[in-house]
Amino acid sequence: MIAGCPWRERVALYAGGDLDSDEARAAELHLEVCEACRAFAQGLRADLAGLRAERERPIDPAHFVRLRARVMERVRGERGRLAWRRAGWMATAALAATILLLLVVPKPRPIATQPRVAREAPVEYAHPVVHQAAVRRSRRRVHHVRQSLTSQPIVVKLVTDDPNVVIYWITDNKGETPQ
Amino acid sequence: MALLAATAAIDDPRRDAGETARARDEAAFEGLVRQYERLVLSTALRIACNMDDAQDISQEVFLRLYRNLDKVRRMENLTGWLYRVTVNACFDLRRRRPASAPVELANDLPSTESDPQQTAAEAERRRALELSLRLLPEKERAALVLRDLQGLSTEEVAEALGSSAATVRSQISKARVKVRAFVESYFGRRR
Repeated sequence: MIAGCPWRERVALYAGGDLDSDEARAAELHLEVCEACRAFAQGLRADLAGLRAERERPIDPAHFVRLRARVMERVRGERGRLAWRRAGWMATAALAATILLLLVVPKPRPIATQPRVAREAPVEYAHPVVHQAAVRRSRRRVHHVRQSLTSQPIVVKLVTDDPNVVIYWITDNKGETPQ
Repeated sequence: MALLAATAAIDDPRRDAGETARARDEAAFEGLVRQYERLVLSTALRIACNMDDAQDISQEVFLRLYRNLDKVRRMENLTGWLYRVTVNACFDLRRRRPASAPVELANDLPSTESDPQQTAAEAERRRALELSLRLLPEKERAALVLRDLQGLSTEEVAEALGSSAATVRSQISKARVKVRAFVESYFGRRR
């Protein structure tokens, strides 16, 4: 509860220059007749002058240095956290894009390789493999004949139009199949 | 000298472009802090009434400034924004950290440089005023600090407090009456 004259709060505003012209004039008229408010206004003006003087009072520069250091340290910390978060999002996006690409793009079919055919069959082959139907259809021709002067068997390789069908004929130098 | 050294470090050709950009941003923001540190710290100090709380409050204010740089750059009245954020940060801190009894902190007044030329009477008056501020309710203290210590107009105080001009005038007048009453009783003069 504020004791004293009921004009105290208006006088308080008047002393600080916070009344408009009409209100200020009314306050001045009251002060002419109220000694208590006059003393109050005088004391309050001194208080307000003291408070305004505090505005110019310097603060120890060390406090500003400390504040700046704390702020910049927090700012750097926030930038680091932001960079990590951004990197995380980019990695996640790249992974998602890679997975999507693998799902959407069709896998290429493997290219069929030509069967490798020996130019000379090993002598160990005792029973040549013949595809009957392919032989009937295809033209036979002798690819290679190895002449042997010894009693070693002769291997005759017959190549057809079908590259998968090759006929090996093993014979002696008399044209008979060795037993 | 420190500023020159900082500039030289920023312009070091060995740094990559990204690091240089970050360094420039940091230097620019630190410049902003230097420009407004007195406004923020002094306001926080007068409302919070102790330097440790004022440091915490001021740090929070500048971090909010940093996080809202894009918005703040488009703002016409950065000073008003800073006052508003500082006041809100003071209220937030007080909610989280209730103040000790103000009379018990009579020996722990805000640390400002003492003026050697100040007379003993002036020093005593200053002490009485500082104590009277501590005894005020939070919102009345904020209104009085912004109006009579920081020199804002009633309208600017209203904007900073998020109140109407009429409410601010009421808070200011009540605060001034209480300050006067305390100073009178402090010096043992009553009418």
